[in-house]
Amino acid sequence: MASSIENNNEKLTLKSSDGEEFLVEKHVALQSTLLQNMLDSDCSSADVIPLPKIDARTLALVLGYCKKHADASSSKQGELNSFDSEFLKDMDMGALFNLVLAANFMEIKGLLDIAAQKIADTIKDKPHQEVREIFHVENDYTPEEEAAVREENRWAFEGFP
Amino acid sequence: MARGRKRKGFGDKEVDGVEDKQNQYLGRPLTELPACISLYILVRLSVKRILICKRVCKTWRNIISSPEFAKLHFARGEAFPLVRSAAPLRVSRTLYLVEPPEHCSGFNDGPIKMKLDTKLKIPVYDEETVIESVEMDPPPKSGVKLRAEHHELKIANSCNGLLFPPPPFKLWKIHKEMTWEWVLGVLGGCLCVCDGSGFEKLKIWVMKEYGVQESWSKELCFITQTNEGRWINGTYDPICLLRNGAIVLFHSLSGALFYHDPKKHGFKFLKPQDGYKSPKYVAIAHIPSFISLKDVVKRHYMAVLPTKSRCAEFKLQGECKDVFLVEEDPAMTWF
Repeated sequence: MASSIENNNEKLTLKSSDGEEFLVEKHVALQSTLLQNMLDSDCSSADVIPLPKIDARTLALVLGYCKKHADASSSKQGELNSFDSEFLKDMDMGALFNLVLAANFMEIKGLLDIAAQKIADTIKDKPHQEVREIFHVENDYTPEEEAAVREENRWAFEGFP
Repeated sequence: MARGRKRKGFGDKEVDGVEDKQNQYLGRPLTELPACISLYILVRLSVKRILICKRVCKTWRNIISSPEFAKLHFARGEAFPLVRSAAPLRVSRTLYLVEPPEHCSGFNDGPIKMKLDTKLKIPVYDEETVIESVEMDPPPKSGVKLRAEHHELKIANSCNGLLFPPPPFKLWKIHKEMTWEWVLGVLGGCLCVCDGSGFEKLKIWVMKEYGVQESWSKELCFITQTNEGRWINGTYDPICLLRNGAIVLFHSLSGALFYHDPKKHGFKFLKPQDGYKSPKYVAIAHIPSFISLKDVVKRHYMAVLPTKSRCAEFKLQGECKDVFLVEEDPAMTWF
C-alpha cells in the first residue's frame, strides 16, 4: 500500500476485450480492488494488464468514474453524489449491464452499488410482465407453477392478473 | 388468470438487434447476469417488488428463495412501521407495512394518501375454540364474529414470521435527567428513548455506543405544537429512521404516525383509515425479512401457529378490504 501511494505519478496500461489500450494513472487504477491487489503483489506494474471481459466503451466509462472519484477529495461528497447520478442518467439498460459486470469484475464497490441501484430503480414500479420485457427474460413457468407463485403472496399481485 | 401472459420469444430479441445495431448489448437477457449480481440488484427492492419479481422466471425465484438472498436482504434491512387495527370490538388478522411511496424515500410529497398494500396475515390464536363456536353451515355472510379473547396476541417483532411474546419486561431509569414518560426503541441501529414529558417538547436520547452509559446523548428535540399553538402531548414510540434521514414515531393517543424530516420545517401526522368511523390503529417497528424465524429460534421455546389454518377462509366481522395512510391536520387528529 505505502509504495503505491509514493509512486503516484506512475501510469499503467489496461487493455479492453476488443484490443483498445488505456493509459491510466496509478491512483485512478487504485479505485479498483482487483487492480490494487495486482499492483500490491507486484505482478505487472510495467506490463499491459488485459481485461478480457470488458469492452472499450465500458472500460472508458469505468475509468471516467474512477478518475472522478480518485481526484475528488472526501470533503466533496455532495459533488460526487451529483456526479454519480448524472453519470448514469440516460444510460441504456445494455450499457448499465456491462457497467455492473465490469464493476463486479474489477471490484469497484461504489460503481457496483450505483449501477445496481439504477437497474433496481427501473424495475421498482413495473409489473412482472413488463420486467420480463425490459430484461428480455423468457417466462419459464408452466401456467400452474406461475399460478402457485402468485397464490403464495396473493396481496402483492392485487390489481393485476 | 396466469394463462393470459405474454411470451417474449427469441424472435423479439433479434428484432431488437436489427433496430439498434450500434448497441450490441441491448438483447442481453437479465438471466445472463451472474446470480450474485442479480441478487445484488433484487435485494434493493421493496418487499412487494421482490415478491413480484419471484414471478418473472425460475432463475429469479431461486435467487430470491436462497439463504444468501435472505441474509443479504436482512443485512440491508430497514425498519418500517407495521400497523394493525386495535379497535376493541373488531378483530383483524391483517398487519400493514408502511413503506414510503416507491418513487421516493420519505413522505415529503403531499398531501399523503396512499393505499397500504404490503400485508402480513397473523393466525387466530385459539383455532379450535373458534372453529367450535362458528360451526354454522353456511357461515354468516357478514363474517364470523370473533370474541376478542380468542385473539389476544401481542406482537413483538419479526423476521419472516411474527413473534408473540408474554407481556413486555419492565424497564428502569437509565439516565438521571430522564423522566418516566418515555418509550424505549431503536433508531438507526442505536438504542434510543423518546421522552415526551417536557412541556411542548419531545426529546430523543440516543445511546451512541451500545452498553456505554456515558454515550447517552440528547439527539433531537421537537416542538410538538399544532399551527394554532396547542400542545400535542402523549407518548411517542420510536419507530424508524428512513433512508432520507426522516424520523417516524408513533403517537399512541391519536393512533397516528408522526413524521419529521430534519431538512424540512414542521412535521406530519399520518393516520391509517379503513372506512370505519373511528379507526384505531397501533404501530410497531418491523424489519421485513425473508429469513425464516423457525431457523433462528430454537423450536422447543415456542409454539408455531400455522398461518394457513382452517380459519383462514373465514371472513371475520369487521375485517376491512383496504387501508389507506392519510395525512391529517394534527389539530384534527388530536382534538
